[in-house]
Amino acid sequence: MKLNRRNFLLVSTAGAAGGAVGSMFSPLSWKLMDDSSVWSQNWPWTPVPLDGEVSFEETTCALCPGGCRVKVRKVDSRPVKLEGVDGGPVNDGGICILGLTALQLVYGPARVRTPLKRAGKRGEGKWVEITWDEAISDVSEKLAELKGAGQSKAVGCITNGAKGVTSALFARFMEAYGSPNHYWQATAWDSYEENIQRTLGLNGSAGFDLEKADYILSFGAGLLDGWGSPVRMFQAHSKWRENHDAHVTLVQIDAQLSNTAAKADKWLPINPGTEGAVAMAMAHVIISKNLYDRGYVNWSTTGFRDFFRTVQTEYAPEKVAKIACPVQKPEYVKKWTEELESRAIAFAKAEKPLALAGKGNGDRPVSQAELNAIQSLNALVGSINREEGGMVVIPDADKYPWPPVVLDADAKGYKPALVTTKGRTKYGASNLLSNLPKAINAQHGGLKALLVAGANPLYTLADTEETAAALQKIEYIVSFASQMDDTFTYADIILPDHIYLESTVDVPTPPGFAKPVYGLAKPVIDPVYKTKAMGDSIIEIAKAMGGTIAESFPWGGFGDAMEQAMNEKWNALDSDGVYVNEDFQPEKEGIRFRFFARAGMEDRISLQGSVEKYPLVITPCDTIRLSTGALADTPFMVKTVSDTKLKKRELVVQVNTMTAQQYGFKEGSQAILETPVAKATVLVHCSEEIAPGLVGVPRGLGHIAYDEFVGGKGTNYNTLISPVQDPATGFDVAWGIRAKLT
Amino acid sequence: MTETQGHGNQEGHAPGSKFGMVIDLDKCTGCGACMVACMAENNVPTKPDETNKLDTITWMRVFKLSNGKAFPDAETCYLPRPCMHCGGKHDAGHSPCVSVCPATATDYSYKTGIVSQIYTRCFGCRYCMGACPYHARYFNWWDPKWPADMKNYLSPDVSVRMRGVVEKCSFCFHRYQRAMDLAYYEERELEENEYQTACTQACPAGAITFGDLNNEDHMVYKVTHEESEGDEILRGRTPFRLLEELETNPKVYYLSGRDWVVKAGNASVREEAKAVKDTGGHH
Repeated sequence: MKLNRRNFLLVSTAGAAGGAVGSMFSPLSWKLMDDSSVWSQNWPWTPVPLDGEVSFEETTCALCPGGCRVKVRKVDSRPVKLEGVDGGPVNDGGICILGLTALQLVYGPARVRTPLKRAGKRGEGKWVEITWDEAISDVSEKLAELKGAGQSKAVGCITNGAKGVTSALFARFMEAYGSPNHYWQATAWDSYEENIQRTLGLNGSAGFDLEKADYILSFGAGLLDGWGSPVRMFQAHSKWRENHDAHVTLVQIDAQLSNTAAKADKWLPINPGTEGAVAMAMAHVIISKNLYDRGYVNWSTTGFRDFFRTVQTEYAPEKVAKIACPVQKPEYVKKWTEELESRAIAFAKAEKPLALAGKGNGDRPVSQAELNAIQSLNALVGSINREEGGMVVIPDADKYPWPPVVLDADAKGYKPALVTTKGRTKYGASNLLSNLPKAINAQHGGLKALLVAGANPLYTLADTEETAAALQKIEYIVSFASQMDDTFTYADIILPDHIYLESTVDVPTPPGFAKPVYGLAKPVIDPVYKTKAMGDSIIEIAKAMGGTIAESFPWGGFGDAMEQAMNEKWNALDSDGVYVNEDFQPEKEGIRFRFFARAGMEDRISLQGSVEKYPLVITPCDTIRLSTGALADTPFMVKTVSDTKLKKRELVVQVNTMTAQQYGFKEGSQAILETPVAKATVLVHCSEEIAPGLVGVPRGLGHIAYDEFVGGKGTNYNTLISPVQDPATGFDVAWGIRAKLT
Repeated sequence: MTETQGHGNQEGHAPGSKFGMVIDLDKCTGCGACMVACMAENNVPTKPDETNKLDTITWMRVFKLSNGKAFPDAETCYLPRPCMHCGGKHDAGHSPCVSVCPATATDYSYKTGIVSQIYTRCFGCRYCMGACPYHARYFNWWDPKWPADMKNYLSPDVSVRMRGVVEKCSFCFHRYQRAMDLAYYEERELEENEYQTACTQACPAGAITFGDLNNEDHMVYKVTHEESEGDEILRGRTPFRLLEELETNPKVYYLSGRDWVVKAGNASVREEAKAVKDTGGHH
């Protein structure tokens, strides 16, 4: 064959085609393809998790006060996953989004792995590693020096609430040391405690028998947005939906279509801040229609006559609708008022009605006026301390049977707390942390040293600028944080805490739970880094200080203090990890509910800012996917946050489509959100889930510290607002702030 | 290759299992626990920025549906979306993704009804992602990273994927393997509660029911067969599946008492409703 161009092409094409066809029959090409994909994936940096024997160990989750029993799945000694424990008294097998991701708190980049001392300037982020001995002696020497100079009251302490053994040890330390400045941040549950004392004369916390109630009026409580013990609430909601015999009705009275409102049988939209007035209007309906529980009102209440008069003259639904109905169109106002009336009637006629408050996930206090009004509804239908499906008072636990604190002359002397209270409050000034920054900034040398134990005030307090200024004035800040949180950036020395999986932690009765339950976390993994339980740290500091302070801490360690504190519950806790008081019966004998006549409308908490300058109102949005407390989200949780709340590093705010149009914004527009205290760049999300005139701001974003997964995302709601004091308690009851969008 | 021995069986599922899920949307609160339970169980990594929802890997994703009405008549509903493990037309195993995979990296098991994903075979052509009508498949655009010591919590039950491969929900197949190993060792049949996916187990609302759609004793069978006693879960509601008119034959069923949710989940019904509305407009 002559090799011309035509033949060459013919042969080569046939060859190529033959080769291609042939290769289909040969395994070689397939093998090569398979191998290439295998080998191209065999990178040394792709981890191959080690296999081993699988085991489960149970403990109690201590990341929130929820008290869920959880188990950790381990491969040899390595924890790989958390799951709920079937039969747990609070969570029966369930677990929440935060509990599931606890291992990211253990191993994540934001974990504090060793004691640290600040090296550079504050906020510069330069630290040197120190040993535990150095850390303990550094703190105890500084505190001894202040005490020696007669400055013991200049030492402050902030804990995460008052409950639990760790907080009690810090409180004890402050007492022995001689400082009245121990604080924590009040929540809706503190408001309830105050209200129980005012209206029932009892010392206790609020519990709600939600599993047995059949008609629930929720005044803004985000029952499915993190309120109370979240897993218990999800399970209660599912029980309502399963109930065939008697349908359980949930009416959500809320400024926005929160997840709770979306799951409710009826969402009654209201203007934020009018919850108390709406409750009074419902009381008006119940009283006018003669539907109240005469037996309970006659025999177990006082002040009904005044209440009756106020409600009848001032809280007619038509009158309340003028301030509370979010759409002021006559036909809608009429519909809204009828809805309010029919719901009030159904509530009063129900067998086991229950009304409750809570402001979103419940970590913001509620004003006493609002609680008085909502509790009045419970009193009118006889739900207080009712056998089943009511609101019960869980009595405060007895003081831990520890030996008395030993006080020296300095500690015995009276010293006023830095924060002052108006009127009577259950814990004095202690839960008025929201007033501390102002008090520090107003005085010269208010506090010289501060212990921050399990709290993150720089993040959780309203008006971040004021808080930062106050922290800046304190010479010496000790943080016990396990994560590099916001307040950590202002600290001078860090004594890192364990994560509960590495430690012994008690979990007192979860907020809102209807019977006393006590949980105990026990170490299920060895401490991964050079950390120490906060309880042990404070005991060691006390011992290092010697004298009466050391005498006040006679225990070998935190474990001993815990065992003694738990007393008769210890055996049950030690073996089962949980103690339930099944025989609990709420106290009824001689308990009278006191109606407060002046409640609701005239005591409506007003917001900062003028309507002319700031035509809009910021209202917070809570979701369980965003932690709002001292503990931030985990990386996995941030991953689940909707892009209508966070987009790249920018906060997304919810604005009603009509309001957005009015100000010339479209979906995704960038805007400046300005309040009387701060300004932030935000993106606009046009939403039908919020009333016109409001700006919904997600809480839980905008951390300034942590790692690349959690920090620097969006804006912290608390930087945009400023505290508004409840005239009755002094708690910060700001439910928003006026704002403008430009 | 015993898994796929029934490949020639065009009649669909013969005696094997057919695992499926029923999700009660009236119970689901959108809390996201299923999403993170899945991530923790299946070694799914996370990136510093996960706000671009087109490149974020969530085998289980919770969507938010809206009834489209203006305030205050707006309603919303959450809808968790795992892989649907489609059986294809006549349940013959011709899932949209399996049909297009050139590398047999994804396959339909007649023994379990589970659509597998074999990462080491996948070379990242992403045909399956284009074929999947549920957007249940995800591509690893980047190498996964577990900074600090986060790789210490990785589970040995699920291999870690790498850049360039597609991944998706496996109905926690490794849990099936572990449960089967134990049942085999103890010489007995698999009980319903022994093999549960991580999302089912985690859901605090108890909204997910998982089991064998071929097993009359399993709750999922009862719920999906009207003649059976699924009443306590159904409560008058009819289970529906997403995009049923595509005949993908998904194994994930949904329950909702709200008409607009059912319509939103099932396009053919939605189109019908639209058609009715359109004709109405002409009159």
